[in-house]
Amino acid sequence: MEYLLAIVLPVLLGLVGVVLSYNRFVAQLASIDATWANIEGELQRRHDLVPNLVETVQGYARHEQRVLEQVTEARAQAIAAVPSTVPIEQQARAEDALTQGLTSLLAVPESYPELKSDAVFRDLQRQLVETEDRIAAARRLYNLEVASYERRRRSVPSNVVAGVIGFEARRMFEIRDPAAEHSPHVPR
Amino acid sequence: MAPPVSGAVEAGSVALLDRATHLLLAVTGGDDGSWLPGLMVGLFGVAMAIAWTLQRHQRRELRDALNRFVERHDGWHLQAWPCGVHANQLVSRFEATPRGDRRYGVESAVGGPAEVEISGTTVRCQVACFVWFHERRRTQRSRGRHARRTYDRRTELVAMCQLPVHTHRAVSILPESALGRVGLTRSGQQLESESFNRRFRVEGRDRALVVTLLDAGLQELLAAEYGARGIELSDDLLVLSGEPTHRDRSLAGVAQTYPAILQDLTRLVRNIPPPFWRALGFQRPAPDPAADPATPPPPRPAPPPPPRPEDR
Repeated sequence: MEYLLAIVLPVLLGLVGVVLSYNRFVAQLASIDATWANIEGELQRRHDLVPNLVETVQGYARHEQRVLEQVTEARAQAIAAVPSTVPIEQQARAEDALTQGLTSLLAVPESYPELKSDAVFRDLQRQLVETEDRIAAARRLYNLEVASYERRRRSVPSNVVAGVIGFEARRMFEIRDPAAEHSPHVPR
Repeated sequence: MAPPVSGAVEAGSVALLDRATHLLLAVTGGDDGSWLPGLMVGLFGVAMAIAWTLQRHQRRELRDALNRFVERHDGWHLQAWPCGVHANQLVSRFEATPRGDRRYGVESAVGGPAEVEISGTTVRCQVACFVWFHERRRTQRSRGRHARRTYDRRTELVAMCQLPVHTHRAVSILPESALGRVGLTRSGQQLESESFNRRFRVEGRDRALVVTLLDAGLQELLAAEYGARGIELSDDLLVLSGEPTHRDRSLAGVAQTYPAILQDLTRLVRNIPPPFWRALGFQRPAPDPAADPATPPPPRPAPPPPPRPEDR
């Protein structure tokens, strides 16, 4: 009986450990997916704001056609990179291109004071910056979740569970911080 | 014939000395060797009197120091309610203001308006520095059945700022426990900086707001400069607790710490990233045209022309 216990008890404890570790991996993956959904939601909101911004700028600055086309094209590429089949790095580069285009677009009002003081444009700019703040926060949360997951996936003993069950590596989402580039200038 | 004056004084002195000796003998129990308890009582009384005098002196010195500190800032004064908030509204609201087991409250509070930089804009806020005290019960069991209950008085140094925005979900950044510092029992929200995670335990229901608040710059600043301090946000109040590293030796008592803690508070607010303020809906105040040197001042009304001689 004692021999049986000496064999069964460690096996049972090991099984419990495996189940706990597995469940924690599943919870972490669910959390990663949830934070990624947040990022996608905010990116979608940014994509939706772009046509309104382009239209508003076009009303005042028809001569800036090149910038407007660049932004429209970057938006189209960013929308095309949203599906989950597209690698995360490709999506990040598409978003960076859109950020760059928007930076050029938001520089246009410097030459058009009427546009700069337009209430609709100011409101859209505010909404854009707020959306980009939320993208930045969601991206950091996502990356923190991925970092925690990866740390567990590689450390002993949870790496055994990850290897046996086949939990795959997740990539971080690294983009330029658009909010830092698009936030209004603070006069000193 | 009246005795000479010097003789009368001498006689009076002798009588006084005689009376004092009688009094001392009465207090100490006479000259039969049982004077020790009386002497002890006398010494205890003297010690109490000295302690009382010293305490009174310290209180007066502290009050003077607080007054001197208040005079350095326009509109500041001694306060009973820091930032207009009663102690009952502060108790248990922050980790720095615990209820304790018996008495609690605010003391040595000073405060008034101060200019803080929020999102690059200078804003006037109500700021206060005070000491939060509370009493903790301590039960000492003797060898018998009797348990002796005493109360320890504990204090916490607090600087508080009334922000122009409301944090609907509280955030607390408190020093990590000893076990947490070595990575054994780490709780709370983990962030990118390992040195920050080692030093602080971050709690907040809105995780997105927490990461917005704690950007890389603020994490670095807190880990480097605010090691053993607590930072808490609730509604419109920002509380910074813990001892500062610097003291103003020209002041006395707890007032020595007030300049440093006030400086730390304004520096902390200045380093909170703009996205955090935007997330809370902070609106920059409309620019004051009078303050802008580029804007010409409005023309003054022309003075009335001097009356002509024929108008008189």
